[in-house]
Amino acid sequence: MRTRLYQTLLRFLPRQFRATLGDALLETAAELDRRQPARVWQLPSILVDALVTLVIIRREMRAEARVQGAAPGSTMMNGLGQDVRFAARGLRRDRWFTLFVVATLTLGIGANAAMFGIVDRLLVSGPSHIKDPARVARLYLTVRPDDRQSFTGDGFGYVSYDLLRQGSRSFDQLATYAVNDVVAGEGVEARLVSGGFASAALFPMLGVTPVRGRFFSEDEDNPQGAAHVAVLGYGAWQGWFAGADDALGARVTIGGESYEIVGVAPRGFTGPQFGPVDVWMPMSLRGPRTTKNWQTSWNVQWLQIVGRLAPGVTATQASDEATALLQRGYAGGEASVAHGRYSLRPISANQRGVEAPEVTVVRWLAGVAFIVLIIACANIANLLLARGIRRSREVALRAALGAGRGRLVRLLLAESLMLSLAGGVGGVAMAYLVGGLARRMIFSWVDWSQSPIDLRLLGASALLALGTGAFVGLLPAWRTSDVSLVDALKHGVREGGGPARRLRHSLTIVQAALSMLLLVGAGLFIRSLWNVRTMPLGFDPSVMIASVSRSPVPSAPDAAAAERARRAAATLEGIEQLRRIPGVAGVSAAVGTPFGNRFTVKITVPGLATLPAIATGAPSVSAVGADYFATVGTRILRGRAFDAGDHAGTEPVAVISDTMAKTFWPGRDPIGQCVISGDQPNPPCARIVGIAEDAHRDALREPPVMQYYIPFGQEVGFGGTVVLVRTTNDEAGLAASIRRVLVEHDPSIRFVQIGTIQDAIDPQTKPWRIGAAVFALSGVLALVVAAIGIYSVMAYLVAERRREIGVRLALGARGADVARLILGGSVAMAGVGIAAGSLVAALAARFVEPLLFNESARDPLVYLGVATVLLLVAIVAGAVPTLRAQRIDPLDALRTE
Amino acid sequence: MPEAKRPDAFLPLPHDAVFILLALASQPFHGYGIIRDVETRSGGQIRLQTGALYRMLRRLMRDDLIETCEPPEADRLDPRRRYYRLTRRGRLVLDAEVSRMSRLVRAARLIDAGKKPRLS
Repeated sequence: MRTRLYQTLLRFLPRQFRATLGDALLETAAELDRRQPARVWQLPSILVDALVTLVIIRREMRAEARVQGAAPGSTMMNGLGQDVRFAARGLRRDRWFTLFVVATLTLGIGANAAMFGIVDRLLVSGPSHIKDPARVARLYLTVRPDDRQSFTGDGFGYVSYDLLRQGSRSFDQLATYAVNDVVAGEGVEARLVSGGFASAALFPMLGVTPVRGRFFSEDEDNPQGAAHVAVLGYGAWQGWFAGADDALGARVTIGGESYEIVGVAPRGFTGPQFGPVDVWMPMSLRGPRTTKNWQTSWNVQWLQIVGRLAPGVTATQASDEATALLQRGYAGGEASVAHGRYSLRPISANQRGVEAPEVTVVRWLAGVAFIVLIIACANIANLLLARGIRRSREVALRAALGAGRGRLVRLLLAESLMLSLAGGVGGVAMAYLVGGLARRMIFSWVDWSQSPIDLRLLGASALLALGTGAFVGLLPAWRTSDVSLVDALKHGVREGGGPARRLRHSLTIVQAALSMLLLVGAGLFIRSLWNVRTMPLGFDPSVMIASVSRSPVPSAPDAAAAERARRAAATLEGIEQLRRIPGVAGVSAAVGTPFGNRFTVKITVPGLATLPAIATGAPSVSAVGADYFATVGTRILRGRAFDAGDHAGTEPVAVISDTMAKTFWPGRDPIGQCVISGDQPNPPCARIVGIAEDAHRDALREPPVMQYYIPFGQEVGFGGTVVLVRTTNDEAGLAASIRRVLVEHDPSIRFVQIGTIQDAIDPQTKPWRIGAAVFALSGVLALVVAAIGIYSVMAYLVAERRREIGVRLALGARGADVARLILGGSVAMAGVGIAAGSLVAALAARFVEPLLFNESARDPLVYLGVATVLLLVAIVAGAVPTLRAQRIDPLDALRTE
Repeated sequence: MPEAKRPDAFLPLPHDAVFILLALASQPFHGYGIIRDVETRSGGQIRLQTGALYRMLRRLMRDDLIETCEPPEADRLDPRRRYYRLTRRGRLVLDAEVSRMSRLVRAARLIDAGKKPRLS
């Protein structure tokens, strides 16, 4: 009987009791039933016992759970669990507060997590799949031609690599490679892909293993006769073969030649650089396409040399050794190269051997992301403080019930940690989305085929979230837990008190100052971008440019010359056809274009014994069609442009740039003078018929360059024709027509790539585009957060000083006086923030200046504009609390006390 | 970690608790054993109900005054059966309670004898 009763009883008791004492209790009840069966008159007392037990045990255990710290037998972990439960309950109650805080933290942590992935790749861990990347270095040559500026580059000929490989002891292994656009497929299927030409040593040197098949061997990369084998990049394997295993042994057509696929590189492998590579082929197959004697020529530079330093060897030692070896072995006859210095630099350096500007910008962006986080922290600390003051009665109650200060801090800290962990989760999600977007849109030149979320990023985000939680929570928790019991219990919230209010005001000012800083940054970068976009380049960058890949010309000299002539004629025919397409306003052929191919040939001027030199070097030459100047929009300043009468075989004429005119013939009229280009015997002298305005040659930032133009067809010793098209309407539709017309007229054309000159310029505007986008985005975010910060502080101030305001209103203060108090407060906070932010921005100006374009980092227009925006935002943020303050009913305010 | 409360802090113990501790002071018992021992020890005055016993056992265990222990060799019949014994602290608390009571008794006797009571 008892057994049955107590069994029922147990069901209503806490699980913990059932687990520890339940069985024993039932066993005792069973034994009692067995030995002293219950008599009828005993039943009431047994029933009462069961009920009393039920009530008492439940009450006792609940009380034990509630009285934290004081409960004997409660454990530390138990206490933590309770803290978490309490915190969760509290946060659920303040739903809007929680939502806002988590959203702010998501932004702050997300921005940092997104940047972490990018910084990690570009600045820390380098291109993926490289074992110990710090020991891998790239070779650079620095030359100082004559008295001009020294120049550093990473282009080498095979002979340099060979010499180094034979003689150097500083490297474990040396390798060489080149990444070029190549045409994959044939006919209509043809497309431009990224081809890596590598020496067989590249893969073992980097320490990478293929995911399928193998890399090619030394034998297959034999300069005397290389095999047509290819290793697919992971992306190409997925894209072209859907990741099928039978890709191995299949064949692909690259540049019109058939290659057997022998392996697949791991996902994200790009060699010792950041851009994607679709297919790897033996370097020795690329050599013959540069020049016939590619193995011995010092005059072609098409390879990059990378090596893994031997243990204990420093980059300086290896550089010295390389310099000695190459200087001794150099037979190219160029004095500046013979005295050049070789240096080994990190593989993340750009082709000039320095950190690429976009990488420098990334450094800044990481800083910006951190500032966003600090703003978020300041804001949340602020809100937690305000919330803490609001809860001081509750906290006092807990303290009165015996919770120690440590315990209270722990409880409040649990709250901020929960918030920040939620923010961390949101941040990782945001990093996934925003990081992915940023990778595709801003850092599109980097291969990002690996997931934006990895363990490193998760770990970093978790650390960041925990750190943030502790950082934003500790101060408010400490302050809130410091309660005077009697006061708090008696009055509840009335005054936040001087120190607390000052603290919250300073936090808001910090937010305003940091917003100012970020927005000034945004302004400066946007102005730079504007300056870049509106800078006169000497041509119209929206002109379309069609460049073609062709099959090689026959090797026999006569056949080659005939083929070249046929191609030139075909190009001219194609141009005539293009002219008739609606929407085409001008077409011209050109060899050598701005931001495209550049040719410099030896030049002599009758009457000038030595040619005056300028910093940008000797004049470069372009061979252009009759309509060239009208098509690209380069103005003719004096004389005439070319016309239909200037072509191969007619009188050699030239148009020179303004700077060339002023350099070679200062104070004189160059028209009618002549220049001799090239060094063939008995060269004709090209008569100067016109002067064109200066045009940028290959950089946005460059001093004026000397440039001259000769008619298309009269060029000797250089080639590579592109077709320029000026359009009046939609380019996308025209591209297909242009491609079709060109291919129809010349069967040797394998692929036509169509873009604009702007496409070639864009990579150079990258730093400003990245800077403008990220600064603007984070600046606006910061502004929103700061506005909410100002609002919450002022709204809180109104709530806090309700009674005081009520008294003032009762004593005859008018609405305007209240407005002055509240609105004045928010404007004052913004004002101090603006001043502080401006000061910091002005101090940082020195460091930002090099990143800007024709823009002073102290541009008053930007500062003024941003300050105005911030003030307006402060006024808007202060408006609602002001209205609320004005509506306070004096009687009501006084009565509620 | 149970809090390191001084034995005095538990005093005075509830009536039932004293008898349970006294029972366990002599030897480990299981639930029914305690009921029997308490009944005998109290001269049939106290007959613990199952619920009352376990309420008290729970509290004593929570305060670390008693603990469960291995049953004697002879009693391995019911695996649910638990044996309890005094902890060191339990013994200290019991001693403190007994001496408190004896002081109480002494004081009461002094009143009978017409002398000034001294409780501590």
